[in-house]
Amino acid sequence: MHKLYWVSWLTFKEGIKHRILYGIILFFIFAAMTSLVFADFFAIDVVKVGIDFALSATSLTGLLVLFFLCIPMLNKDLDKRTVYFSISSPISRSQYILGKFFGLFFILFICMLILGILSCLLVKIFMTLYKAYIPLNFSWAKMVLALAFNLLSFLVLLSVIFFFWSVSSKGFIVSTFSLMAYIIGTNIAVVKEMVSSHPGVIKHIVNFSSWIFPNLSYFDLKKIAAHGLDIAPSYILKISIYGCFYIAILLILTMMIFKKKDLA
Amino acid sequence: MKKTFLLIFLIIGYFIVLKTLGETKPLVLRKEKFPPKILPPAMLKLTWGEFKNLGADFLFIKSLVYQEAEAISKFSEQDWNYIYSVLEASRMLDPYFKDPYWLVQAFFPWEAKSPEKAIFFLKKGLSYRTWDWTLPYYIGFDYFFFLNDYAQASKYLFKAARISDNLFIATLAAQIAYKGGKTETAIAFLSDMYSKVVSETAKEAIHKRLQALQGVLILEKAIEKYKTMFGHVPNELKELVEKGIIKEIPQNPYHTPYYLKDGKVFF
Amino acid sequence: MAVIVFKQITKSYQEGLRGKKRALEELSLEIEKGEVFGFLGPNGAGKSTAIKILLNFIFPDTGEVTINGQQVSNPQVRKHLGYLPENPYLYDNLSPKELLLFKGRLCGFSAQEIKKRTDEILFRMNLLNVKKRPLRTFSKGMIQRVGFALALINDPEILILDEPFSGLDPLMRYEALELLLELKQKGKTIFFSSHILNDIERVCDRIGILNHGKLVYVGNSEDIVNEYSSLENAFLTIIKGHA
Repeated sequence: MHKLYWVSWLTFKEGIKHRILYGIILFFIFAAMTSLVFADFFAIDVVKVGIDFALSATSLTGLLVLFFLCIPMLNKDLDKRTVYFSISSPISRSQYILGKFFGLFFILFICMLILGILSCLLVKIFMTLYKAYIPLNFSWAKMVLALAFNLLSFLVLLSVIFFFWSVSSKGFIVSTFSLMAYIIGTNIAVVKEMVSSHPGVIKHIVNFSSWIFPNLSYFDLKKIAAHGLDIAPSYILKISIYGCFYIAILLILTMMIFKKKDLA
Repeated sequence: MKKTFLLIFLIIGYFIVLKTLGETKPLVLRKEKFPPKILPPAMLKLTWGEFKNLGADFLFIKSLVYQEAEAISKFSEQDWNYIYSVLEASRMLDPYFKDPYWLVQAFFPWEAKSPEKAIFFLKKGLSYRTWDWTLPYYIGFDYFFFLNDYAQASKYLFKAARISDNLFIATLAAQIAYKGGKTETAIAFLSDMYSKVVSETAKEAIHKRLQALQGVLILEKAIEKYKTMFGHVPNELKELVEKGIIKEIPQNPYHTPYYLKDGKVFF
Repeated sequence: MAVIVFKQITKSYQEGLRGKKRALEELSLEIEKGEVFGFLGPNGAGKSTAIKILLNFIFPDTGEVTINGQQVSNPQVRKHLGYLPENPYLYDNLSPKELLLFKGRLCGFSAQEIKKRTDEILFRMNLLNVKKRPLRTFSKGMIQRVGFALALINDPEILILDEPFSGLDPLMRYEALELLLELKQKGKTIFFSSHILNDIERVCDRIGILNHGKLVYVGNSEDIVNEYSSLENAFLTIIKGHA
């Protein structure tokens, strides 16, 4: 168990010093300023717009971390053979995979923490400037919930990234397929709705895809946070379990594939 | 040395070109003969992905920008249709977003002269913004003021009253339900709306109607007085002036004379 | 007593659409405890492949490899193993101290022990003053030395070195050879591949020559020099003979 800790420690230390993380924070600050400039355009639901910007910027930034930090780190590990350094130690390949996953998880967690605080700060600024326009049922709890499930969706995507990385050694393939999985995952619910009235092969293909690809829209609670909508605790439980199951299945598949892989 | 000169020359040339372009707007911003097309709803949803909320905000601004471009009073039916479709797209990406509903109500019953469209749009929001009493309130007003459908008006006003727990709205609803309601009700309703509406056209129209109704109220009170004095309603309005109950018949801002029919004042 | 045993190892690679390249052909080899074994061969002979199979980076098509009697698939065999790859690529943003801590902890050493050993080894490698600097600021030679340090941090019984002298300047090469001789004195088992014949001659007890994936010669370094007058001669003759 403590071996897992050290692999994640190594991964975390290597990643957290990446310069791209500073760029990401700057990006968020820029997005925040943009939102304040545009705020005056809106008539009534101004604070909702602030929440939209805050959560969207967080979401986008998290995706940037996944695609421009996590994927390159994994690819470099194979390309530059730094994986040999870890694997030549007395750890199993599964421990290596899990340790790496948790290391990247902690990096994402730290990012989300910082971005989450910045988001709440931005929303607070909006609420102070536009006191009269706070959504009726707004609550900080819902805001935090949206941020938390945003993190969960990143972990689901991370497990997908790990899976593709274990299958293919080519960085380009990992990036492309992961991006594809993200786009499909975000939109599969909408597409399912669209084809529900068109029976036939397309419907079955879409249904099948919704089982294979992660349905990321389950974790998208932006509307709940923006308008203070109701959310049932049972729903929260269901999507948490769904997320955990998906991550677990994909990680186990990754470990099984990686165990048999030639690290030439 | 050569490179430095070349660079300076290029920079000067660049700024000259920029100045010449000057006031010319980029092609994409120029107003075309016909308003641009909007993506179908499903495509919009797929394009914006998890950022639908942001898409709704963006489309709302898009509709505003289009309105800034030309004076609203000169808008053609096509222009209004375009605005409507942009607002519909925004609403569809985020059906809880208040601003599209607000904007539709601000202009469509008045400048665009399509209260039915406004009612249709606002109704879509009812199942989403269940806490927002202003939606059914505006629907109720549109039925009352533009379509003279008192049954529907009171139905929606009651809904608004239930949500807002507001006695004033409840009273309004009740009185309108009672066969079109009294003049005082209408005046109260219109005064409240006057404080809420945004566009100048709307304010003018409501103000005019209010003035007309004030005149009706004066005449109705005078008729009551006549009735208590003489035991029956007068046959013509000028009898009120002859009998000295009122100094003169009020001016109708619509420039048609008030007249009496079955004891009620009309204009 | 044999610590490293290769038993009938065969490994092929996919080449292009149809071809299969044989990297190793029925390699059987035993390395005794405490001996320094030099693994020779021209480029592409399969030396690195054999070492990668030994470290469980890649899997043989047939045969098995054991270290101290245990299958190499068991992570525990690497607890007392030190490995220096051909071009040590290490994590850029991390410092020698952090890397050594990682390796030491995974091999079961306590934090204090690692601290002590880190200072000792880095001092020996002349890297003590850059203990905490990130590796991206290091020269190639410095990185090679960090690689050595990492191979030695867990005081391994067995050392596996893949072309340890490539890219080293003469001074560093001399230091490295001295280090190997020192380790040999301490009774360590050293298995290393190289194609620099001088170094092999000075350090090795036994030598194996690999060509086109086949082990074409195994013998004591003394015997080979007696038979062929010099290692270089031996190498050229044997390789040409098995071309």
